[in-house]
Amino acid sequence: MKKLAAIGLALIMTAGLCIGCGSKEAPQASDPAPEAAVKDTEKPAGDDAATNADAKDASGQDTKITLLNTKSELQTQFEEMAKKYQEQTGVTVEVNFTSDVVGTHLAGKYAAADPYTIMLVDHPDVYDFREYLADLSGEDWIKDGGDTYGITIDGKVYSFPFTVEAVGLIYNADAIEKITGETFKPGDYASIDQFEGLLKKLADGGMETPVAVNKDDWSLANHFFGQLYDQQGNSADGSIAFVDSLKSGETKLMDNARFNSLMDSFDLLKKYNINGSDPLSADYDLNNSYLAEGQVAFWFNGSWATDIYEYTENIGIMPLPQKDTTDDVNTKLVSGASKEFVIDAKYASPEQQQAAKDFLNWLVYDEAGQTFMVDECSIIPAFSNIEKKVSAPLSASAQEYINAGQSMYWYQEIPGDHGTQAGASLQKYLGGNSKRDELASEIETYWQAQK
Amino acid sequence: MTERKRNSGILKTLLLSVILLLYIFPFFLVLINAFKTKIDVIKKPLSLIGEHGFILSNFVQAVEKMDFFKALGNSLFITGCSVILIIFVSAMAAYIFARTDWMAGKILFALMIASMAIPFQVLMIPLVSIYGGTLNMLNHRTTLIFMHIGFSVSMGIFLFHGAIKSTVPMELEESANIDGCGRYKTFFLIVLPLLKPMIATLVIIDALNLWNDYLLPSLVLGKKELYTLPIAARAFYGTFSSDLGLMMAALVLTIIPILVLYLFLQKYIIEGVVAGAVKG
Amino acid sequence: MKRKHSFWYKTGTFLGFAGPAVFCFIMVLMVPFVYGLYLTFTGWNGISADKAFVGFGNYVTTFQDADFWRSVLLTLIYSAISVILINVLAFLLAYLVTSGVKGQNFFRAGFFTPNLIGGLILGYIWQFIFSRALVSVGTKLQIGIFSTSWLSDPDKALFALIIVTVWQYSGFMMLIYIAGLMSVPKDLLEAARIDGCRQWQCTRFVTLPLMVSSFVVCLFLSITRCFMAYDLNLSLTDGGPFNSTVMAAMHVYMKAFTTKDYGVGQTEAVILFVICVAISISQVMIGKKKEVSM
Repeated sequence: MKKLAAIGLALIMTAGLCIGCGSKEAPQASDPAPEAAVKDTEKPAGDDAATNADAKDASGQDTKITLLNTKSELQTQFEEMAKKYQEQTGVTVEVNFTSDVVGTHLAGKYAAADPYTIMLVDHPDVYDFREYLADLSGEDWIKDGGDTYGITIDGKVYSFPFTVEAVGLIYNADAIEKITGETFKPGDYASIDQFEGLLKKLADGGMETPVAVNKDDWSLANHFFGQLYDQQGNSADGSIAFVDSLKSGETKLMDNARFNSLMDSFDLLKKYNINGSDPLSADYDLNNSYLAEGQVAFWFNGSWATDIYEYTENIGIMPLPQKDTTDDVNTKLVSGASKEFVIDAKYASPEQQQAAKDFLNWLVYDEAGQTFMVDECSIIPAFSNIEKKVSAPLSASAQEYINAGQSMYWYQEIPGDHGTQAGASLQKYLGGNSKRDELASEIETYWQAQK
Repeated sequence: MTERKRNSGILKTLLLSVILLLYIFPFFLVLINAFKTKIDVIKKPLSLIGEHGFILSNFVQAVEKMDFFKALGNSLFITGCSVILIIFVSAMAAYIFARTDWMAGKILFALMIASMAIPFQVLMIPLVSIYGGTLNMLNHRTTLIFMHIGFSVSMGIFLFHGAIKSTVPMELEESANIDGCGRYKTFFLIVLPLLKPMIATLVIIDALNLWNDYLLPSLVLGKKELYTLPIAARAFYGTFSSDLGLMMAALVLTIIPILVLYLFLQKYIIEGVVAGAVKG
Repeated sequence: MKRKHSFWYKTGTFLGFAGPAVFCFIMVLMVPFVYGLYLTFTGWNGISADKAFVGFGNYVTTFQDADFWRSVLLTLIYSAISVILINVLAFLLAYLVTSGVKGQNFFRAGFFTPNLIGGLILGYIWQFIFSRALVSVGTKLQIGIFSTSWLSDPDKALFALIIVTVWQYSGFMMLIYIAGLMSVPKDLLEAARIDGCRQWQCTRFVTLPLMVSSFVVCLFLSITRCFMAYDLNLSLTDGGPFNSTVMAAMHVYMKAFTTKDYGVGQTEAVILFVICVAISISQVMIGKKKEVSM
């Protein structure tokens, strides 16, 4: 009896396992599909660019597309925009939001065969997901800046640059002027000596610790330390060559002028850090409020820090002063497109893809689209045809550098684990648990392990 | 009551009160900060009332932005259905596992226990590829309920198994059997009522797990109208910084229903035990 | 009567009782698990449609991944300390709140509140307590140990994790211990008392043996939960300071989704599972032997 029962159960189990085998083969069976899908969509992508404006009304009526927003601060604006967009074009845009890591979220969505039509992603995601993405090379906006800021892989543009952002030293001019008594012009403190002089002056004048330093690994590794990769001849090629030389072990950081210059500046910020005694307990929101209320004058961060405006509008962003001024690093602000729209080509229907492309065109060429980006989201657009000026102080300040041609290439092809790995090394250094040569060798080890 | 006993009673109460303060302190922090503006939460998280005064707007905004009542409905439906089904199917399975000594039952039981040690990360992507990519069953509340049952039966069976072995007297069942009760009748009329305390405990454990679960629902329910409370509340977490006041308010709103359930069931545990003890 | 003993009738009953649970279990857990096992033999990056078969390559990589084994060791230390503290405290609390103290319902509800706050946010609240509240109190009152954040020191950060874990799970386990304590028949205790047992003797010789199954359950649950701790790890320390508190589940997650070595991450998760099963099952086996059947 028992034996029979066991056999019966064993059969059920095997059945279960077979279902397992079946489903594990299923994804393989569908393997050729993505390529086919991509190929199919390549054709229309080429010749529909010209008919974009007309296609809107023809295909638009009952099309519904989904959009993934990954900038939490813009969620309300996106929802408002979707309403207006439907009134104007008849196309329904369902706005979704996630605060999870974008790449991880999308990995789940693609595994579930349920991605969004349009997705706002980070730089590395475009590379990771490119086999699923629509080729946007034939779009109108390519010539107006899409080719500079969009991501080109193997000669095809896969992304639409949604926003240009800058990385640098944010300053609170009110706080500085209160102590120095003179109008603050960032240009006057472009050299490291002038900058150090100012910090001393501020410290003597009562603001003992005029700098806030983040402890967040993404900030330390990808933004602060990232300048090492950015400031290599102000070009993509220069940065790539430099990173390659790190991978091959050719570059020794301790002998590298840019590394030492950056770390000298870092030491200076560290010396005047408001979180000084316990730098690793720094809190992003608290740093934000220190700057907003003028308890510190400088905060190394980026133009996305917009919570400050409640307190003062007299703020701006400037390049981090350094000893080694090669490539004009002290006058050129690191900036680039930091969030990109991509369109799914595997699961979205051709109509949806077309509607998504129309939507991107609307952003660049329609008055309402431009208003949405520049006025409502306060972002710096990547497109030269848009003449609107951003009013948000930080973005406006960054835009000045960009319009004056004073921008520095922002290298963003950093691997996903650079933040956690190099970030940990930098935290160790910030906390005083390692020396510069140890930091250098840890970073070298990290890169040499990369393929 | 003797003097010593009374003293030890007071001592116990005192000790418990001190520990209790430590336990509810974080909860208390959430509560007071739910009534503050973001800047006050950051600057003066410990003060009872923020500089900008005692505000209710966080709650109004949270309700609006989360589409609170829709999400509450989804959460109630999903948690409610899942928990009821989990209790029934796992109590039944535990009973048959405990009362037969078939090899198959033993193997399954062992597999289930072992499965509780599977990190969810191992299952996450395979699960969505099978149910989304192959079966196209995602974005349905029923699918989520089904998955909740699958993930929760192991613990349910494990707990019921222990409870049946240690608190349900075999003689009672045997006499019922002699009286002509079948297996099903015996189970529903005799065994299940004796399991009341464990049922109440498990309802709390499961309801809480499912109510607060974020990862699985976020993978299964990709449509706004299906969002549960934890998914809806995630809108307040930002990449660079979060809207803390709103987050706290959303949290308080999320907790209240489950707290009510807990307080209600707690009484039930005691009643159930008394009833069981009389029979035992 | 004869029908009742036939094999098919028994099988039918067995399936009738266990069928629904077993079906859900197999479909939701076993099937994806088997598929996941298959993925450990591929070099998949977690995204691409290309899942190249790599044989045991990922297992070799896993055994050579020093960071993974360091995280496993850390998880073992963390789990051992946490599990002991959780259970001692949980039993003590359960014992106290069932001993007829005034307002025991109130206490029970209170100790359970940590569980009402789900995973991530709990870590954020404690992060604030450790790096802000305690520091400000510590600096004011000049208590050296609190004057810097616990989260910026590798050893203290681990203890912070343990403290929060104990705080969170002890209330939960208390609930199971309460259910266990309540199921101890009152007449049995009464009889023991009449026989001249003192309070602690009653507890030691009557209550405790009857509660073995509660201990088995609680130990099992706390071991598996500690072993797979991820949410708290992420939200309280985020692996910091400088990756010193990256525990196994977090390492696995990062491998799979940040480094995008999905195959390796999956493999490491499977290894983690095997270790966890070995530990927890042997605990259950030992416990089940001691269980008293009524």
